[in-house]
Amino acid sequence: MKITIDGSKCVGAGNCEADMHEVFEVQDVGPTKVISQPAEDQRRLLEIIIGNCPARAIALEK
Amino acid sequence: MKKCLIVGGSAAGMRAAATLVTGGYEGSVTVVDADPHAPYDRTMLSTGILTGAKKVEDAVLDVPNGVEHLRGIRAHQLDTANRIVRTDAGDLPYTELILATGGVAFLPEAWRGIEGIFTVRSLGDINALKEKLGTDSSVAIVGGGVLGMEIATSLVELCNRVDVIEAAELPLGRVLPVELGELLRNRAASYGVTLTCGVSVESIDRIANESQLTLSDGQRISADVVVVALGNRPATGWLTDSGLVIENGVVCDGQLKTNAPGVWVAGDLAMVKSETSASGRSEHWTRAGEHGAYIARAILAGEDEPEFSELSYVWTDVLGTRIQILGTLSTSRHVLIRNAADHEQLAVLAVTAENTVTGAAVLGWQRAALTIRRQLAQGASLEVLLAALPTHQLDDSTLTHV
Repeated sequence: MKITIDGSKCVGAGNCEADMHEVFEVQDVGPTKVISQPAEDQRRLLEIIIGNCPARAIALEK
Repeated sequence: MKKCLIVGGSAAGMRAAATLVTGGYEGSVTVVDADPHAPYDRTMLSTGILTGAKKVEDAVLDVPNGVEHLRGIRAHQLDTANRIVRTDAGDLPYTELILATGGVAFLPEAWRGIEGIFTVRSLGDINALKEKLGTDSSVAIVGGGVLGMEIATSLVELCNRVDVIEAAELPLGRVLPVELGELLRNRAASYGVTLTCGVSVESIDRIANESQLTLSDGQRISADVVVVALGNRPATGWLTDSGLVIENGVVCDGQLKTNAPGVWVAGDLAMVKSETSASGRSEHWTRAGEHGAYIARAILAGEDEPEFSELSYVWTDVLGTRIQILGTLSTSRHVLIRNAADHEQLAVLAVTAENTVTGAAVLGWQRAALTIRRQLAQGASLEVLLAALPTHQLDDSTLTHV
């Protein structure tokens, strides 16, 4: 399981960091960074976070 | 078997459909959409698709497995008594119905049918506009709101001259506080956009392949192409005889339910009447998606949910700046703060008489927007919020009392 952020779509809204700050980090300027990969048991929360991204910039690879 | 029918396949409709199928809805989910194209992300039309930086495929939204998507099919009547939507493709029955037909770009009556005038709402609109644009084109954009300014930002890269005519004193006046509107107005010229505020367009005449715009101050502007970006009107035409209450949109309660059983309304089409800050009609993409997800969750739960109360969030990229607007800005006091590390990055906080922050508009400063979002969710006071922000400077001189 790997989380990626499409830098061309990300708007830095920060919904993802608000829900999972150990994985996502909003930058002052530019796309949000993935600072660590989530644990396997967080899949359900990640799906919600992906659904909450206003720019649909987050993807989950198997 | 249950049948959830969704009319309209944009942000609200597709989000509802995806939430229903991933949530294990026990029945069929059908989306019917008048647009002949695949479902796509409208926010990219005025930006990446218009400049050509993005391909149409980049904007296409996935149709989730288990969702039947009927494109190019127009709904023309709703029979709430028999729970049927009449469409070009025949009658579609439903057990639950989500109305998400959105809005139609507003074009004043007098300007309809005149050559060289465009609106931007659909992929078809963008394709038609792009066909007329060249590097030597001059473009006049009527309306300096979010859409008009996004289009202007995109077209300065492509065209020879870009004029924006805004009737209000400042651009983005519906979403931005005065302080930031002034900043953008002053930035327009250096970005290559000729922004004229405080005047309206009296008339548009097409003379010898050129549009002549006469402004209320007597000024004349000529342009090869005119883009009208004066907001949208809810697409309620097909619902006139449905028995639903129509009032600048389909009227619904705080749970987005209409007056007909089993019928919800989402996105630009919804005129929400509730006591919450989510009351009224929104024309924003994030709000539409949130409406769709909220209704889907209510359908999945099969019972009444707490009223829709998501914090309003709008973002846009205008004149080279990322703008983020959170919550509500209509308070008695505004406080302006700047990033200590970069004075170009700033935020205006809306503060109530009780010293609670209800919303903010942020220019370029994404980390501040994130902190503010978190604090807003907790109903923070100004002092608590300021203490949580990255190193900043409070601009006392700009404290305004509206």
